Amino acid sequence: MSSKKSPKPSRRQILRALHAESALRERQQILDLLALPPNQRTHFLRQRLPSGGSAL
Amino acid sequence: MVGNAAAALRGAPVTTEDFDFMFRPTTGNLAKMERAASSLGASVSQPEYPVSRFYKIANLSVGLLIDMMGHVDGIRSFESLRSRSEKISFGGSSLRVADLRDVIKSKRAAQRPKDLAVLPVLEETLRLCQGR
Repeated sequence: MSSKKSPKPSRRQILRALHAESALRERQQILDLLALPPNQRTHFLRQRLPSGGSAL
Repeated sequence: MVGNAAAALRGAPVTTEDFDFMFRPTTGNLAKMERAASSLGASVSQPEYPVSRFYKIANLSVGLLIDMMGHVDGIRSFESLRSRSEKISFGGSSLRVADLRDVIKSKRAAQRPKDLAVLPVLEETLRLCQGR
């Protein structure tokens, strides 16, 4: 049985794959939001926290 | 309504800490704004007075922040913004939400880093809206 390993991807290939995955996820997120009626696209408001920063 | 809240209601996956509105700062509208702020237990301030007609309505105990602007970068007039806006109903009340193209124009004109950062996702949302 052959135990040939596939070559390790380069850093550039990894970053390119991550970027493509991120763009795909963002696109799907937009399509999911567009599928909702506008009055249900309401999960966008961040609240300031007393300790600084903000949270959804 | 303009800004990121308007963009989110138009389908963009963005978040915000406040609501931005463009309005005509007439005497009557300013009185209405004061009454609305009072009914929300909020105070009205003019942080850029007398340079601009920008009003901030805030009730920090409940995290309510509303910016009311007489002028929005990249938007020629209130009338033009309104003519392209869409009415969205929320449980019996309605809200005029700016067209995504106008939100993009205002962000591009404002040129602040936080506005420029959000442009790619707004443009992608517009592309997907137009393709539907």
